[in-house]
Amino acid sequence: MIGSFGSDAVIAVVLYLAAILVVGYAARRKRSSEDLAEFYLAGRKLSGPVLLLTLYATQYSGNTLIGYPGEAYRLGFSWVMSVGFMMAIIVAYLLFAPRLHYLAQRHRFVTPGDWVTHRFGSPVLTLFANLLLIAAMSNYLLAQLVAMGHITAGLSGGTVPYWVGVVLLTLVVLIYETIGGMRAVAWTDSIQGLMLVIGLAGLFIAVSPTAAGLSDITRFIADEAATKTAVPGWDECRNWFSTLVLIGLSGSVYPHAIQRIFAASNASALRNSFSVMVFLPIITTGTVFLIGIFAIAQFPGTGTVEPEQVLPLLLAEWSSSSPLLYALSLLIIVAVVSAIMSTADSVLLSLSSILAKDVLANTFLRGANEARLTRAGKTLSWVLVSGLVIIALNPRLTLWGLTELKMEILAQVAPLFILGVGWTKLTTLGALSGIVSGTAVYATLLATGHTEPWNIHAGVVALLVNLAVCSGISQLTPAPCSRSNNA
Amino acid sequence: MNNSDTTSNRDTTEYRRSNQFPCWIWGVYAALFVVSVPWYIPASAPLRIWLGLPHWVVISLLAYLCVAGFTVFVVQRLWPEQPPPDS
Repeated sequence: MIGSFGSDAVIAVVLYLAAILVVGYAARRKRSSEDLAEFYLAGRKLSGPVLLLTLYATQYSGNTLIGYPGEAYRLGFSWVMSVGFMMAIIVAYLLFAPRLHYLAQRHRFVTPGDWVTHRFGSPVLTLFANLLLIAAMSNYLLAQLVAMGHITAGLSGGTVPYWVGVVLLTLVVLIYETIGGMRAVAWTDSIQGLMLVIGLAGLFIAVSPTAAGLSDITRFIADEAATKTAVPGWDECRNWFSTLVLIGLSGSVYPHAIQRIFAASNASALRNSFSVMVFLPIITTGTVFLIGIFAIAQFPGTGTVEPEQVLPLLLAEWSSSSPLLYALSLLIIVAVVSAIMSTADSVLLSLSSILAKDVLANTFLRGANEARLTRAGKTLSWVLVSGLVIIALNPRLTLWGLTELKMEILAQVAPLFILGVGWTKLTTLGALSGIVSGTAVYATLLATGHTEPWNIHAGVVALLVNLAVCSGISQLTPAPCSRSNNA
Repeated sequence: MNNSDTTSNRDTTEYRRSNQFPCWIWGVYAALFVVSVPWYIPASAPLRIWLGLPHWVVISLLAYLCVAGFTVFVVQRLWPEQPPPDS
């Protein structure tokens, strides 16, 4: 894929892997105990800068860097929506994060399921929500493992086989995560976040044309493919609105993002992180969007270049023009690998915590102390990943396409957090009926091939049903808490 | 379940009284996101270039910049005060 970088790219990636293993070891030395909050939430001591960078690194996966330029290349200027939907995630956090952080500190939540249990007191609802989270996150993790294989094979020009990439990078993630827990994940995320910001901001400054140069590119695209510069029609606008809602709400309730809210050392850390993070889509998705636009002019004609090849090809071309661009391009390549790994480690840690705290602690390990649950969680990480690696090693079974589904599944869980935190009239029966109805509607639409009825994502249609049922049933059923509300 | 509901809703209610963003901010966010999607510009409108980009893209980006700037204001000035966690 990036043959012109040759061994430099491989050496840079190997150095990065060595560095994060050292970071994992350092995080292990910092850990004071084996309890769940210490391992899964870094002792609830994530300070502002680390919190910011880990939230950032977690939110931007390898797909952002490889997939998004391809989307801009394919769709044209309407992909500017990517800046908006990444910003919508931060706005959606404001719907519940301040209150949830406060309640998490007060009631010592470790997993998203802890909040659901605390708020609704229904084991059935917690189990259903956890099943949806596990399904969405397992799928997401599998996609990262597959990406690890593809990126390694691509970087080395096929010298390092796909399976070695999957196994090697997964092993590195497992090692530093097992020894360092959330602290190791957050620290390595910080390195990745910095690389991403510096690499993309540097690239943006280095390759951005003047307004006149950009005008020429826009006019060229308008002549070559007018639809890519035209104002989107109402059908596309509906899809744009739908994407803002879907990604905004689903991205904010990623279990690993919610656990970072739990792990924030105080409200000030959370506040400062959000203040900076809301601008990062402009640097990140904004730059990536422009790269895709440049590619339309660089590789005109449909079908000339596969969308996933857009960034690698442009990097290869730019890197030959100056030593600075070569260094920045190399940095972006390592950032792509680390973006995949940082998403994989966060998802894995979150899955492990849900399985240990919400599943094992309520079944086979009922009454076990926290150190034992932490050890069980680590073991489960290895077992879970081993299973997913086996699936990822068979490229015919890759589930790249299914990664989109995770957002639509997560959307059905969003009301438990957003309405659960902010609307006291939401009852357990209302929430349970809503999530079941939403999931059923989504599954039905998917099974019948209606993935985007009226250009609106099936997950958003299902979410509307979910919300209607939630609020309808909650209004009809007497609130069990009226006594305390008036107290 | 009743007990749990009672306890949790007491927490939530207590928290809501003193810890809530003002409702009007959601109206501002809705307006900015609605403006960011160019549904109000005819699809047949001729290409107009502002700052090197199609004008509707510049309008979208400006709307998103406003979302970012407004969020800083909301987060820094309107963040709900919280009682100490152990209160």
